[in-house]
Amino acid sequence: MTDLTIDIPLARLAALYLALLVPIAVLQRLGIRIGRDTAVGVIRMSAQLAAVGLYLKYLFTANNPWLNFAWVGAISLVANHHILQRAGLSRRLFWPIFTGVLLAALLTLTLFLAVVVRPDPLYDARYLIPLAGMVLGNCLRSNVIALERFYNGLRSRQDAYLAALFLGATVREATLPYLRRAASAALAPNLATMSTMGLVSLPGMMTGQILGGAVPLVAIKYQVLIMLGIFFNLCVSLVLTMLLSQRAAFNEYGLLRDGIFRAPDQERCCGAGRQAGAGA
Amino acid sequence: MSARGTTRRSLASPPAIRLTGVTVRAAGRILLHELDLSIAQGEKVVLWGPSGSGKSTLLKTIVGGMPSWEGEVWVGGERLAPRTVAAIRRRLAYIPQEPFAGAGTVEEALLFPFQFKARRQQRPPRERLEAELETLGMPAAFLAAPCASLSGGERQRLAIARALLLDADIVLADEITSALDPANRERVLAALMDRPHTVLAVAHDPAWRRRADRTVRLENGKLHGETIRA
Repeated sequence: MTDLTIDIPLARLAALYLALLVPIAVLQRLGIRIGRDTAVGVIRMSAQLAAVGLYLKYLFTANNPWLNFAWVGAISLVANHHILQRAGLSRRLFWPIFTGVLLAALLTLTLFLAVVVRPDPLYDARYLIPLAGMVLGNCLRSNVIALERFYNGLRSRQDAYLAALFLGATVREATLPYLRRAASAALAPNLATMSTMGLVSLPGMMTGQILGGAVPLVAIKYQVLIMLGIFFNLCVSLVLTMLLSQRAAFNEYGLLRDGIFRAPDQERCCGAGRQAGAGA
Repeated sequence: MSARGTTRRSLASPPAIRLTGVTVRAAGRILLHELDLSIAQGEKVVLWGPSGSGKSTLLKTIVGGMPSWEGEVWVGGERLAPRTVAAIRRRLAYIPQEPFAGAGTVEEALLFPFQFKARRQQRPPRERLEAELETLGMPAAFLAAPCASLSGGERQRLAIARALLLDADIVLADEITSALDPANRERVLAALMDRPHTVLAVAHDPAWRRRADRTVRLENGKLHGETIRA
């Protein structure tokens, strides 16, 4: 498969970096000052991908189950850190949200690898690592939306929440409308993507596989697998993170703890981050 | 009810509400300071005092709505604690100053508490909804009205009707007639004060004090004397 892919010389890749300077210069001239943010973003992206490329090469060669699962755990931790930061939540909710993210990811990966793809061995890094990355990338975006909507909704509509609580609702019952709204908002972009897939754009994974030399029909099957898996993962992870975090987010009397929100000075750079997404 | 009647009842059964050494702090301020208060079952007590004296905080503390407090709160012989708070809330009907009505109709707002498991069996029939609304001077046609179209006074009466539908042992009312004209205020007072449940109401209006078995004055989070109606 690799033989069919045209390698890109670094000099030509550098031309693309230079080409980026043109639209940035135009935007700067229009008073849209994104030069610094773009530079930071591009440098980070390049450095991170270069590091991951080196590490993946090692992972694929070693193909050790412990190393592979340690990688899944590590990217779950990173995803969790970004979910908390972008949703404006404090570290008090770290473990319950991490548990929800990791459980949902492991369940989805088990479904992918043990039921559908069945590579030999099941933990084969060539399948486990990219699938885990896609699942967790999408899980990050949707959980940011869900948790932000859920907890900010509760904070801004405290009167409705407390009315339900004082009128006899349990915390689970009183939070249910907020959970429904948050889950719907978080799933909406994914549903829209699924319904336009193939019509508007060719999805990332499929494009990558075709560029890598795969037969289009096989690439499509993998794309269907990843879309269904991502949606499965989102449904499970959203519900788990919102339910598991409630024990830490509310006190014994069902009142929302103030300490679960990040202090305003900790919320820097989150506006743009909230829009960040992951492809499939 | 006479003060003597209240005393007789209090000997036979535990107080409806008892607070012992209750201190509430928020944002570095003391809102209630070592407060002791006992209210007998069926007693009607009115809390009054200047703004910021801790009246609303006292009601919120009883319903388990304050994040930080010390002391003991007892409701109908049960001490307020994490494992008892749900049962205590089921015995109370708390009407806040600005009650929540929701985006639906008046009927939906009245039935709001009965969607929860704890109260599902108590769901009242439509005739009861109409009767409680009419007691408070709102015709049955209001049931179909959207809550968004209600005036401040109508929203207050909607919350009172909802509290009455709960058939709770204790009603906690926080300035619930502030937006009502005298005729409707009298209707509310009759509906709340002539029933056998216990009432602890925050009210500045002298009409409330005239109807109460006892009035308690709060100032700077402390009790500053009480008056028992003869």
